[in-house]
Amino acid sequence: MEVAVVGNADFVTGFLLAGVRKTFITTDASLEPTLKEVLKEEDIGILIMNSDDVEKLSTPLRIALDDSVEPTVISIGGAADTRTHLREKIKRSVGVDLWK
Amino acid sequence: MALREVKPTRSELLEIKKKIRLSESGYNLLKMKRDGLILEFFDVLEKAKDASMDLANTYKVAKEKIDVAKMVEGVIEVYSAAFALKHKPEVALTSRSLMGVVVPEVSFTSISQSIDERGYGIIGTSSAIDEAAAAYEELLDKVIRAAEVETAVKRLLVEIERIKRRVNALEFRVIPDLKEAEAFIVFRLEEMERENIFRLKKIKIKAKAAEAA
Repeated sequence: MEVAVVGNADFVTGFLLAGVRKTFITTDASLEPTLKEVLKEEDIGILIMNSDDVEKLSTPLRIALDDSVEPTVISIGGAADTRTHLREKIKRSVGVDLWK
Repeated sequence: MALREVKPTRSELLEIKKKIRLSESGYNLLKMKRDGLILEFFDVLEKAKDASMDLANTYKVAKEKIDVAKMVEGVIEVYSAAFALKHKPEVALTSRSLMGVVVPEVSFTSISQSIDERGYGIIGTSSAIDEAAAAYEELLDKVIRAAEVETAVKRLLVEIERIKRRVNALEFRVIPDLKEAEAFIVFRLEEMERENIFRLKKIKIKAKAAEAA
């Protein structure tokens, strides 16, 4: 399985240098359609995104990304805290906010 | 369970008592499994939190290095170095069981490479590109490790929530309903017993009256 990166050109460049070949350069408008296409690809095991881009997504797609196991979505960088959904889920399941 | 659907018979009472025993033992087992999963979850969550924090710091460093490389060499040079790379990182997902929950294990070939293994010319590029590449290789390594623990966290959460729902259903719905049905049958059987005794007494009185006449 491969690693894929979705984001703007600035975000993607570094991962290209690390050897990632599945990179998808997006703009705000093309972010959601590209992501939907990427999620359909079966050979992607890990999807890397910018936290700010995750915040721009519609709620259903964001929840789908948070719950997705294959590919596992890892969001890094950006000012946004994308762990909110995971924190909520922990609070709901365990009863306590353990992500502090 | 609606009480009007319950047949007040002894066999039904035995059946319901059996169901209560089964539900109670299932409830206890599920509760133990939920507690065990939560303990396991604490362990994985700590790892996930550490990985997440580590990832954020590594990304900051890598971003700084790529920005320097872009400034020193120009974006086109960075792109051309990137496209000259020979190796691409591949991950293999296997699975292991954590108290019955299948969690992935990510195995991958080492991403970090020496300068001459990368594929772009040493003479044509500066050390800024090498440093950025090394930083992003380290970042990618950590991303893959973080993906493993984060997926484990997600799967454990799904399982904990599923078991919690079952435990709640058993505790607040199934067992109380069965106990209510049991109480109803016991009450109806006692009622029928009393009616029978009364009927027998009446018959006895009538029979005595008939004998006397």
